[in-house]
Amino acid sequence: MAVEQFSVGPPDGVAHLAGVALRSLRGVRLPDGTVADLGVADGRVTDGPGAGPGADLDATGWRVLPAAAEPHAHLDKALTGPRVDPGAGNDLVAAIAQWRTILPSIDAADVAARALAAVRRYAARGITAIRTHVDVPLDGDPMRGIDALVALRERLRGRVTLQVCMLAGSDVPDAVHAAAVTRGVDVVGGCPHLAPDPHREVTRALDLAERHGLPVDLHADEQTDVSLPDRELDVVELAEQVLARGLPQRVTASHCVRLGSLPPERLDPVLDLVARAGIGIVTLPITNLYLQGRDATHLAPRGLTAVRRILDRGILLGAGADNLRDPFNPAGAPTRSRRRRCS
Amino acid sequence: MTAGHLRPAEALAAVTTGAREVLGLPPAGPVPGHVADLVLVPDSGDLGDVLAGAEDARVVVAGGRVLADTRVARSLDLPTGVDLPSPVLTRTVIPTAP
Ligand SMILES: [Zn+2]
Repeated sequence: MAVEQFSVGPPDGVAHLAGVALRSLRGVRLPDGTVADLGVADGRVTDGPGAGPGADLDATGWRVLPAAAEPHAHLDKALTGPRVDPGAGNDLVAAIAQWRTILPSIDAADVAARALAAVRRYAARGITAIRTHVDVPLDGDPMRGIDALVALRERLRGRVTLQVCMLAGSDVPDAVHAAAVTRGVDVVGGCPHLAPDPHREVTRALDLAERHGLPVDLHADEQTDVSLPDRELDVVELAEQVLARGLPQRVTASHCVRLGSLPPERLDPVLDLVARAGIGIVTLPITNLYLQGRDATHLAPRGLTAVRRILDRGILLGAGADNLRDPFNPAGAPTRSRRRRCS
Repeated sequence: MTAGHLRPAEALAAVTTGAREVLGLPPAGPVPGHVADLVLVPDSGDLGDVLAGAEDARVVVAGGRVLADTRVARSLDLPTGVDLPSPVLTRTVIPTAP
């Protein structure tokens, strides 16, 4: 059987390649500046020309880069921006309150439809893997968001990698919290930074992760205020518990905005602890630039974590966009470039 | 890059290799053995153009299969090159009064 031959063609030509399975990419410029042929087999890049099934794609005049991943999205909230007042100027607490006013009217079909529309935007921009957090709402069926996104994950398998991380607030009863993790989620999440007792919230998330052998990804320290003692930082609590338990699975702290407010002499011991615990950090600049620093009259804090010192300390760092046109970021966009510009 | 003051390669890593590792996914990119999750952009300009999001077209590959192909058709009432006399040159040809 003849091998199908395709050409990418000119940048302003007709888009025609979606769905084409490749066995080679010909004449493409690599990140090191050289022009080469790449093979593809079983979903992986191979040395030399591909010989298996699939089409040959002439990519002369094009440059190849790794695809991006979105390590932190909220697909259940995505694209609800038009349903709320975009001029409200939300901080984190106000955004949550605004989200809760529309949550009762949101069902599983609504979540699925908006999530898919959002995934289409992410994919077109060059993002092939997305971790989405998903609320466990207390009014109505608490599992509707999880069920919709787990079903979407299966529907998209082989095209886009979706990871579903349960995000139950501290007001979710223990029984519901424990039941949510049995609905097929990939990751245990939580938001200790909003809980009256952060220690208890970290503890129940890690208990659940330990019992089910799942990775952990907590919203942590999503505030700029550091008047509290350092031992009360979410990321310190998390690192200490991870070390005490000897937790082998991957643990991630998302946001970590407070680390950006710490002077070096306070930051360095915290980062030492994070490094020892092997915790990865996800920074989400766009949303945190929107949410944080609203009570300042001048020289507003920027809502960014300490990315430079995190990298210099050898701690794993991922960057994402977080919210996509919802109460937490009415103008969010899944653009690789925007995220790069700001990360 | 702009907000976090990272170098371009660090900013790129944070949304590619770093993000995938946080997710516990194997590395992806145009390297033998890596997952064939790739992005093709027009090979004009430098990498800075890509980082600045200046490119209009991109082809996205996931697991060796084209996931998305985006092109932009544009009509622009502006010249592609500077073909007008510059103000400085114009001034030099204005005849002076006798
Ligand atoms: Zn979040």
